[in-house]
Amino acid sequence: MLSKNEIFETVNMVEKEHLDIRTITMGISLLPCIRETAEKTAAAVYDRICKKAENIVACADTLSKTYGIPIVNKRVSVTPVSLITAPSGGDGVVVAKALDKAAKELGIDFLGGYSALVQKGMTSYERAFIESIPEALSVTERLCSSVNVGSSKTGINMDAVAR
Amino acid sequence: MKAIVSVIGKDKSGIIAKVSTALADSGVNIEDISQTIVQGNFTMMMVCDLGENISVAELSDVLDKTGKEAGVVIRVQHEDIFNAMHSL
Repeated sequence: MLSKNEIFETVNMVEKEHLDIRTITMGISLLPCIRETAEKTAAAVYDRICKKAENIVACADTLSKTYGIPIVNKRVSVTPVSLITAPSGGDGVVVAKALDKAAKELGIDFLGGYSALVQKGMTSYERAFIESIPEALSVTERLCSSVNVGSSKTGINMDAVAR
Repeated sequence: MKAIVSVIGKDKSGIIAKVSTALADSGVNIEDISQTIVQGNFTMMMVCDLGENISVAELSDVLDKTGKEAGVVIRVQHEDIFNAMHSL
């Protein structure tokens, strides 16, 4: 049975000490979105994300109200986009715009995954992808990007770092 | 399903009446009440049984409005939060 002090302590964690949940994240695989052209891939990406994550903001609000703890950010995380764009020729920027449009449509704060994993080496597509990152970030607002250049097993890919 | 309702604000008449009425209207049963007034600040905790009548999120909206009318801050939290923090 809960004591008055325990209840008070927990309530104060939110009221006075600003306990909150930094983010809730939904992971979505984009592998089924790979198409022959970058434009078709981007359209498939937009549709898939909007469909899969349509309830994420409403869900977060319900959870927040049920437990009385604010949820600061709603996030979607996707398959590294360098893998999605390679088969269609590597134009990542059109996919980046589709991702950003989906993020705005859903009302989420961040969409992460405009990324490449090159710790073992880089293909020509991945090299082109990494070079597209500055443009992709400049034409979008909620997209997050990363490049994984090292791991304990493989060491650090210094060519990727130089890029 | 149980929730803890906490009411905090400046003491004035009618707070307990307004909150209890809002709970009764939502079909909520009050199981335990604890209330103190420290230097003019009113604090009340209620353990409530919502049964199947209303969800915690819906009750939170109802009491948010009640709180604004009564001039106090009302929080509703599912009991699982408290159990998770304090019970092994």
